[in-house]
Amino acid sequence: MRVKLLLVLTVIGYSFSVAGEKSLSPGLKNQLLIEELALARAPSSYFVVDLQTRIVQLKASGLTLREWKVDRLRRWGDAVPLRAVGIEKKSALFAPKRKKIKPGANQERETHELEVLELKDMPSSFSLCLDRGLSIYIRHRPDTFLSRAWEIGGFLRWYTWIPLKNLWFEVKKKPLTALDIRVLNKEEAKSLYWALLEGHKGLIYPF
Amino acid sequence: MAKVKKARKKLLHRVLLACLAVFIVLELVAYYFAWPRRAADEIKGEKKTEGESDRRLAAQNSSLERRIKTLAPRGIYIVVDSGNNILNLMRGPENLRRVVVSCGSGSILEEPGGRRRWVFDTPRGGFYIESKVKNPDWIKPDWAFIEEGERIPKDPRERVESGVLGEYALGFGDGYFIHGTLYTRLLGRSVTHGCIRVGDEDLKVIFEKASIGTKVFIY
Repeated sequence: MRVKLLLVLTVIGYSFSVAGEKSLSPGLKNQLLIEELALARAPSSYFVVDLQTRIVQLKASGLTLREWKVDRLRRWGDAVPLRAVGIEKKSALFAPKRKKIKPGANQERETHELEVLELKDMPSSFSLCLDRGLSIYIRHRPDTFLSRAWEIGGFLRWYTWIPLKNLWFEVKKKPLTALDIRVLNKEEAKSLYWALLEGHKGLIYPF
Repeated sequence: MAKVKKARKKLLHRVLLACLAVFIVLELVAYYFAWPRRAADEIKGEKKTEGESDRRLAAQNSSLERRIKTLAPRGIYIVVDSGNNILNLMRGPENLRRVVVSCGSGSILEEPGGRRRWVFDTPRGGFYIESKVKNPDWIKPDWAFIEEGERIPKDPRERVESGVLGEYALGFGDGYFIHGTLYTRLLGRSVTHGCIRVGDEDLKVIFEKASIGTKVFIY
């Protein structure tokens, strides 16, 4: 029974991850390119999530500064917005906290006592709340026992809580699109957390 | 007594089963509504007609892609990965030099009394090299005195400190510089107040290659 249930869930998961994969129509691409041109003209950097090629990019002036390969992609709900979206909130269970400097205590004398915020302090599992009802959950491929256990929690949340949340949004007539992005490893997830800032704008290229 | 217990157990089972049934039905309805939908294939204000329209759009798309590409800098530019403390000196797709640097610590300093607050992050985004200085002096800002627990001087001459920024400094706006450092052992760590510290040899190369107007991208 359990094996059957697992098989059904795997098939559902796979069908969601590949649902509707075909090349982007010229009309949609046109709309997105117009949006990207506006973002590229701005002085700040912007992100692009390409669901078709499964790549997350950080760009500025049309130039790709950094790329992250997506290991697995899942989604629920409405089609992704075809306009620029902004990150409203970045949240994590273990969000890093900034250190406070005590006036009069020079930190740079002792390397091992540096109280600084670095890439290694960033969380490897987090969510981004964007405008136009878009939520992106980012995690990494599990590599330890703890991260595998965490992955099970994520699996349950993705297949039970998110559809219910979507239903609630449907009742309230609000849009909701949920994307679950898994990157290759912990370091990639941490660098994504570092690179994506609240207020950052970007685009999602759909299937 | 045993009968009551049995009846209670039965009732509990039924309630649990009913809850499970409601949950399953709710989930099924939720799955129906949450099923991923595709992006609408319509563009506002324009009716999609024949293949000719698609060809016109494809041509427009090529032109848009070209316009986006032309925004990228053509000559030398600098890309700083502040998370990994790496600076890349680039020319087009070619990486001319990969340099280990020190970027902002992300720490917070509050003035005693809580009037002012500084966050020592390296700014992110696109910037330009605005100034190039040889043998720069550091004009210590207020936070430098507060951090050291010293009084803020009234005489501007007391703010000048020589020899701490290395031989060269390249300003990229708002008082932020790419400059040298005395703390070379800390290169690769996020320890600065927002500036980008570079080792002497690498700084010389960056100073020679970059000019006023050179683009700097920081992420």
